Formats: sequence, structure tokens, C-alpha cells
Amino acid sequence: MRQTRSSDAASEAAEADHTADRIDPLRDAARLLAEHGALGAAWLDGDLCVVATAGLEADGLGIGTRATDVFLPLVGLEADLVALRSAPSSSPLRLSNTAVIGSDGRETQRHDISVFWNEARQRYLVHLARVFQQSAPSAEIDQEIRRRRLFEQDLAAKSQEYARINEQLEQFAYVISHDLNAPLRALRYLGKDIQDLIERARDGAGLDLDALGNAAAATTAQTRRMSQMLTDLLDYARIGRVQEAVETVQTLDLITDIFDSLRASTKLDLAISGDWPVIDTVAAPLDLVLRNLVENAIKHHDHTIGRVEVNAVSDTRHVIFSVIDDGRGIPPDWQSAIFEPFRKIDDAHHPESSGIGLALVKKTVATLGGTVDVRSDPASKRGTTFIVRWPRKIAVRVED
Amino acid sequence: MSPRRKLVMLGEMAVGKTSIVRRIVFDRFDGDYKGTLGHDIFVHSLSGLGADGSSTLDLAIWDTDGGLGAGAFYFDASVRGASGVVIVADANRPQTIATMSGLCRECEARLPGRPISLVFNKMDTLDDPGSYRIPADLAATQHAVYKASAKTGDNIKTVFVDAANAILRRGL
Repeated sequence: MRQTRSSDAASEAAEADHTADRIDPLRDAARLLAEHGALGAAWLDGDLCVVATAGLEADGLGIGTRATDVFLPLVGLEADLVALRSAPSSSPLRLSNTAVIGSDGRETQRHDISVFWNEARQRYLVHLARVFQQSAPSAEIDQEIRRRRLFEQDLAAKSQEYARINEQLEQFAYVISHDLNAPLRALRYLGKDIQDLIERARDGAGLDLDALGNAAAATTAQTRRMSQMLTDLLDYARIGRVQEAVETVQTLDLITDIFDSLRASTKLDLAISGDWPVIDTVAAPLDLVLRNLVENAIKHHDHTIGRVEVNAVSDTRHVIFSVIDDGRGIPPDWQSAIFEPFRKIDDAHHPESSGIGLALVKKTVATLGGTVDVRSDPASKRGTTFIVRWPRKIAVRVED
Repeated sequence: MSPRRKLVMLGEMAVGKTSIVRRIVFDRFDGDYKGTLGHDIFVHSLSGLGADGSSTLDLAIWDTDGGLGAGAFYFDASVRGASGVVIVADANRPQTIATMSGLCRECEARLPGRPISLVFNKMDTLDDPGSYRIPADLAATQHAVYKASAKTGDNIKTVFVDAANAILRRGL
């Protein structure tokens, strides 16, 4: 291990210096160097100018120069040095194992540097204690320890990543086995119905064309539903894997376009409020998020007359979008489940919906470093508010 | 004499802090990893700064060791008094990016108003550097972010010129 003689020696030296008004500074320094092994010392006045030096290690500090100009370790520490004067009993300023590398690549001796304030003499005392270099085997051991620590850290990070991927795979397995099974089951029953109709026709009961037509239509609908679910599932899986281009987006124009495209399909009052900024962001995901939330608010509103309001405010890191409706609200026990793929509160009213919209919203926002929350308490008040915290900066354009 | 300001390099072990400093100061790269022990201080003079390109600045660049303690957060006198901070991460190692986030928050709290540069180093080792996405929480900050390579020199000068200009602009 490296050896220094600085800390205890420097404290004792400072203590000695503190009461050494009567001793000549150079003689004092010589005594300190001899007794404590501090290999260099410099005295600075209250303006941080060098007034005396002792020892080879302090040779670079010319008398009359300002220490913070010529002695690189002290650059920037002016305020800390002044603070030492106002609290002289506080710990000295210490810089451990410090070396200066010149423009020619040469390295100075390594020093443990300590700066004290001597109240009695109104002087700073700077001690430079040489750091003795490590032996070669000791340095190798140190490097090996570092290498192993790096390896352990990377291993831990990879384990976490695999755990996250495993969790996603489990969720996918559940979705595929549970949700995609429903239309398959329906198709199986429809096939059986069609078989029965044909059997009955063969038995002479006549072919019920209406029933056959209904079964065929239902088969087509279930096939479409399954196809839509698979498409949605692939979209969901693709989030975060596709690099979207960052562009300047007028968020007010974006929400206005969304409202314009939806106005024809609803009589609800669609309102925009707040301050809508211009941001450098990924436009398509932002459109997906806001469009899904507004469409949801319209689709699940239980009245023909009502209101959907979208508000925007900004803080330093996020634009906060709120989608507020005055519909029937979302029960507390559904407020987490609605963000899972294919979870629907009212499947009966919206059989055409795959139920992936809010899952897409949540994953999109999370992938970009934002959050989405829902607030609703239908037991006491109508309405739901979705709050999206969208990061102001998504990616940075790097100038070559 | 040009004004002299302190700039501190921070970041997890082996992310390439020393390589970045040696690239800007000596314009060379040494691929052998040798950890920094303690603090190495380099001087680098930059000219052509400021709005009219007439300003100069001497940077005292503090190259710190990556910190042997868990979390690698330490704020001793080596960091105090800094006019700017460069925090480096290895684009290949998520752990180093987590450390960058932590250091960034610490610097925001302890060195308010100082420019913080976030450097994602070793971009040359990625299969597709063009599609590398800066982690969202760091991209969402107002700090300057760079994709860089000490090995090829890509963007290294920009990091220091931008930091020096920010120091001058803010009168630090």
C-alpha cells in the first residue's frame, strides 16, 4: 500500500506552527521537515500570496506569486480558503495523492496537500507531503481488485436486465395463453355449430341458411378479432425497439389535429387548455399516447353530452398532459389492471376493442422515461383524469 | 495570462476519463487500462472561445479515480471549487450510466449553476452507434450530452470547448 506521512505529521506541524510566532518561519519549517517528514511548506498571506517557502517540494511556489494562480491544486478553492479563515478551528483543507501533469506529459511528485489557517500569524500554511509510490506487486493487486469489482458490477447489471426480460416473457406467455385463447375457443364452438347445421341438413331437416350465415359471419368476426389482437401484440412488443426520429413538435398543433380527426365521431365537447409548448421530441409516440387517451375518454363516456378536456403544463423536465373527462369513472380495483394488455372493463359494450390501448400508452411513455397515472373516484365524483409526464428532452442531436 | 478554471472529470471506474483527458491534452490514446489513483491535474489551454471567438481559457482538468467505494460518490476538495464538471459513462455498461445519473444529481445539488457535461464514451465499440439512444432520464435533463470516443477522438474537443464556453458565458 502507499505510504504517506502527511496527516498526523501535518496536524502536529500546524499545531506547532500555530504557537510559533517567535520562531523564524524558515527555521520552523526546517524543524518541521526534520521532525515530521513533511517535505515542503509554504506560507501564504491573507490574499493567498506566497510569503515564504521551505523544502524542495515547494520550489515551484515563487515568493510574491498568488498561490491560486501558480499552484494548480488550489485553483478554484479561493472560497474554501476564505472559509478556513472564518472557522479556523475547522478541519484543514486536504487534497490527497495529487499530482500535476505538464503539457510535456511529465508528472510532478505526488503529494498529500494540507492547508491550515494560522490565526495568530494571519498566515496560511500549505504542507506538501510526498506520497511514496506503491510497490509493483501492490499496484498489481490494486488493479486486479478494480478489475474484479468492474466484472462484478457488470454481472449484477446483466442479471437485472435478464430478470426484466424474463418478466416480460412471462407476461407475454400469459397474454398469449389466456387472451388469445378466447377467440380460438369461440372459433371452435362456431365450427361445431356449423358442423351440427350440416349434420341436421344431411338428416333431412333442411339447411338453415340464416343460422349458417350468422355462424360464418361470427367466424369472420372472431378471426378479425384474433388478427387485430396479434397485430396489437406485435405493436406492443415493438415499442422501444424502433428508434424514432426526434423532431420539433408544436404540441398545440398535434392535439388540435387529434381533436379535428375525432370531432365527427362524437357530440362531446372537446376542449384544449393550458400552455402547449414547442418541444424536440418523438412525434409519433406522442401522437399515439394522446390519441389513445382522448379516444378512450370519448369511447367509454356513458353520456352523449359531456366534456373531454386536454390540458398541458410544463416543469423543467416534463410536459404534463392531463386528459380529463366527466364520464362514469374507473373503479379503484381496475385502475392498475387497465394498463395491462387486453384488460377491458366493459367488454360487452366494446367487443371490437382489443383492450391494448392503455397498455400501449403506458409502455410508450415508460420507454421514453415518463409516467402515466390515472385518478378517478367514481364513488364520490364522476370523471377520470389521466396524467402523462412526458420528458421534455427525449434524445440529443450530436453535432459532429 | 488567461483565466484559469477548474474542471473535474467524474464517473465510474474504467469508463475512460483518463483517456478522454489525454486525448484532449496530448491528442493521443493508450488502450491499456491503468486505473488512476488519487488525482491527476492536467492543464489545457483553449482559445477561440466566446461569442466573438476572441476569448481564451486555461482549464485545470482534475482527473479523479473512479472511486473504490460503493456508489463512487465522493465530494472532497477535489470536486469543490470546480467551475464545470464532465461526467463520463461507458455506453456499453449500464451500471456506469446509473452512476452517471447519481453523480449528476449530486453535482446539481452541490455545484449549482455549474455546467455539467454528460459524456457517453466508447461509442466506437458499439455495433450501431447511430441508433444509440441516450437514457431517457439523462436526456430529460438540461445538461449537454455527448456521444463520444476517446479512441477515435470523436466529439472530445466539442465537450471541452462547450464546457469552457459555458464557464465563460456564466461568468464562473
